[in-house]
Amino acid sequence: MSSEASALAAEGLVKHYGPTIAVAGLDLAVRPGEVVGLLGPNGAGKTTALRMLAGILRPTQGRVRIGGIDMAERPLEAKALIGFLSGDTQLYQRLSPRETLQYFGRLHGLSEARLAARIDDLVRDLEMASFADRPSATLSAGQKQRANIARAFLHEPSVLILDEPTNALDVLSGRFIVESIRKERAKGRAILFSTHIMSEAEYLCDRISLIHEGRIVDEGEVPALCARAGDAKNLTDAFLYHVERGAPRADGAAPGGAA
Amino acid sequence: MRLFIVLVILRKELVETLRDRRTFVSLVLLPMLLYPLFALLMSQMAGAEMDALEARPSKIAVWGELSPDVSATLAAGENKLEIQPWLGAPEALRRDLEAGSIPPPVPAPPRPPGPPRKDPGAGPSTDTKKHDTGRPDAAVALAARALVGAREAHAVLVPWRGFSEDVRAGKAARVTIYYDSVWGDSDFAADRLDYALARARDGLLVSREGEKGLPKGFTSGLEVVSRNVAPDERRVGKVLGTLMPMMLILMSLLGGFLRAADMTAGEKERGTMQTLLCAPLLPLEIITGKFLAVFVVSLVTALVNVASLGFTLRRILPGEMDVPFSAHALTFALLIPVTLLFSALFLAVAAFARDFKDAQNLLTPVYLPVMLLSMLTSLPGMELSVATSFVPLLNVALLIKAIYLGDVAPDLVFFTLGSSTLFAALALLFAARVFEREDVLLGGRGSFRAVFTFERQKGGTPSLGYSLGAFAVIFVVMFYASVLLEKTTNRTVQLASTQLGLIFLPALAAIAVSGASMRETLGLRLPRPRALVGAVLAGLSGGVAVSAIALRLVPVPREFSDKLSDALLLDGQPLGVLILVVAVLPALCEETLFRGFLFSGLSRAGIAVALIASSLLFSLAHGSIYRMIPTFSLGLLLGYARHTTRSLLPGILVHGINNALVMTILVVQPAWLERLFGEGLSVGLGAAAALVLALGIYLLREPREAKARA
Repeated sequence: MSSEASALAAEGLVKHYGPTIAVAGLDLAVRPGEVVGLLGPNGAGKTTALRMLAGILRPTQGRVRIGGIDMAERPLEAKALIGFLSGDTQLYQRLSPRETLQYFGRLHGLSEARLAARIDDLVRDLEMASFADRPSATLSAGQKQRANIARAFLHEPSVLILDEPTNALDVLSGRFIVESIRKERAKGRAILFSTHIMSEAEYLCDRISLIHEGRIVDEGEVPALCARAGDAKNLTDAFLYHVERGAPRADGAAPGGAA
Repeated sequence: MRLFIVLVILRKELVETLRDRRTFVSLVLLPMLLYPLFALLMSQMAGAEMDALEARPSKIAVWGELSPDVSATLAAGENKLEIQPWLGAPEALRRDLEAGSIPPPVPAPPRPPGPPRKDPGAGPSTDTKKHDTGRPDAAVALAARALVGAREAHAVLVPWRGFSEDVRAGKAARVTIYYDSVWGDSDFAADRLDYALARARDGLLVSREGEKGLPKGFTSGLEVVSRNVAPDERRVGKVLGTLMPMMLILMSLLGGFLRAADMTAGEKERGTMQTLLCAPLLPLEIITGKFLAVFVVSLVTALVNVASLGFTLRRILPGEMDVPFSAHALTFALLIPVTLLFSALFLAVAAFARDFKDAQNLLTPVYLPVMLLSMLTSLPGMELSVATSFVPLLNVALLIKAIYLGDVAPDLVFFTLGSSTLFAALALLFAARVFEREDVLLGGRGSFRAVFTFERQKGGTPSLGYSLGAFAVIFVVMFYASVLLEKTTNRTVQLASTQLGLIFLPALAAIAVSGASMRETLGLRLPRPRALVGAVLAGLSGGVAVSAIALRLVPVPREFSDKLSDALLLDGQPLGVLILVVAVLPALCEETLFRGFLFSGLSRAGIAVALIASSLLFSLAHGSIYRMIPTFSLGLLLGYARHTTRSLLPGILVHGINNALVMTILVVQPAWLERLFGEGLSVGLGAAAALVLALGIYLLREPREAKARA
């Protein structure tokens, strides 16, 4: 897959924290209108990788390109194309969701008219009307996460980076978020998404990248992944197969080469 | 309730508490170190102040005739009293005293301790001197207050008319001591007088009892009355000046303290920091916005505190103390650099914390020294001086104290504001540096050490933070060292060593340590010949043109200009030496520091910032409010020369010629010049100089194409 056609492309990303190697050479590409899932056990380096892709962390080595723009060279332009959401993000306690959206809309340089229109759209689409003007401290976890999703979608980014967005949500709220992500894919956004919930990944993702100990151990569509994982029955088994082996693929092919 | 369960829980909580190293440091280690250090510092300072007091002789104005024996006792060397007959006594008062038309005050019964009583008849009047004017010796008290207030004498001793006769006749001879209890030196002088007079009295008693064959203790010898002439507002001011700086500073900073913790650690804790970091924003924009918010909160808190204090003094304690509105305004203005400094510092430190609670733990060690420093103001004899005006926070606290006491020296205000602003700028740079570190902003992984590690650069000009930081160190060291150097008697050596050892070499060392290129930082290149001609013209005219305007804006007191020219003449060195030490050396050394090292670093923030900031610091380093406008303008001229020619040489020429011209005029004092300057600098001369200066600047200017080629 050529990185020119990708909305998001990472080449040889490495991140060291002192002596600890969190990410050890990661290549990744997401095309417009595609959902790629990043799966891996706790501590595999998912969050660090996503943060580097979102421009929050500087990679020790390697480069990130968003819509062809190099993150290290032109960070502000690259970041303007990204919507980022993490499951552990809360809201400003004393601001309402609408005020939070106004704050981030202005930070993104949206005009007041467009901002108002976008907020109206999002409040309608994400069914936030009942709580959009209440202080965030009084909202339920599901309501908060909808407000957070709205914040990530607000400036109509071409790339969405979602770090366990359904973390700690009940089935109903989780499903709502997943459906919202599907709608964004239909609009042609490139979506990179990490989760622990295998069913969610199978349902949503066009392709899966399995990450373990800072490396991509396999990558591709779900049936192909299962086939390579000793004919695993489902994604969960494929995941366990790779994690328990704890090593790159036996055939030695370069990660990403299967797609 | 089961004791066992309680103990298990207690044990686990204590183990957790002790394992948190930060809690341990701020709860145990810090107080263990801080109080002994503080006590040591206080006793050292108080001791030094006492030593200084004891070393200084007390200057006593004696308004009246002492008998020879009493006079001799007072003048005895060990009393350290300098007796000055009739010093500063107004003519009319002297006549009245000599004629005996003013009755002495009667010894007052001892007063219970407590605040000064209100005159029941006075009501809420603002005339606090009412009960003074009612006394028989009011005229003497007022004259003494004026003399002591002007610090021309430490105390006034009035032996009332007939003193000598009374002594001879064996009656109680009456004397009164007038002093200012708020001024340490005056209070001490009164004690010394009391003691000396007691000895004189003992001497009299012994001789009288011997003469008359009376039983011991029969007579009383001298009747001594002490009169405190400190105006009431000073007495209340002393109490306020001791407490208020601490209250005002602590309260103002408390507002910013909590907000800083919430804006950094709080955002980290809630995970909102990373959403901010992935928005298309510069770290500097984030920190500046947050910094301004902390600053505004602190400032509003400061305003509320000052307003509340002002209201209290006016409405609730009327007549006790007349603090003019301008004093409150100045107090508020002084709190601005302090809140600037601490807003930046709080924000930077709190950014290291994992969560809000952790931030409070981290900020406590920052806040405690603030408390202790502002408490230092309550030390007796702790006053704003050249040395203390460079200690952050303490300088402002002492200046607020001085404002309430009503003795504010303009130069010290200038130093205090200047150094506080410098410290605030440094704190802001530190905060910006912290915010550029992703590891600090995202989690608890950030370490202080990483922020302070300093990477040598390879070539280029020094960074903004480095140049300002190193300059602050050089500046403060220079200041304290030059205070020490003042003790050496040889002014030529003093000036030359300051220039070379405290300005030139440190500047070169700072560049060398940074790893920046000497050639680029100092602008070591030869400018075009016409720029050199321009520099000569600007050097000849700049000083006159600037002074012509400055003298009209801020007239310089005669006393100050005399003292300055006296200092510059270096005890009568020949002109050649003077030009070397006062013109050539400063031109070389000061240009290296200000337009070389400092200017290069500041240029990274834009040319306007570099020009204004370097000129401000240049004028601050010249250490006088009267020279501020001339030195600031000269700094602008020198900075412009450095900027446009990209060379240090024209600035050295301008600076050197300017100083050499001043020295030549001071030494030669040509007669035609006296005529020219008869009425100060004339408008015509100023205008002519301005024209020459304009021509000089025109010649200095590097044409665009030359710049483009370079």
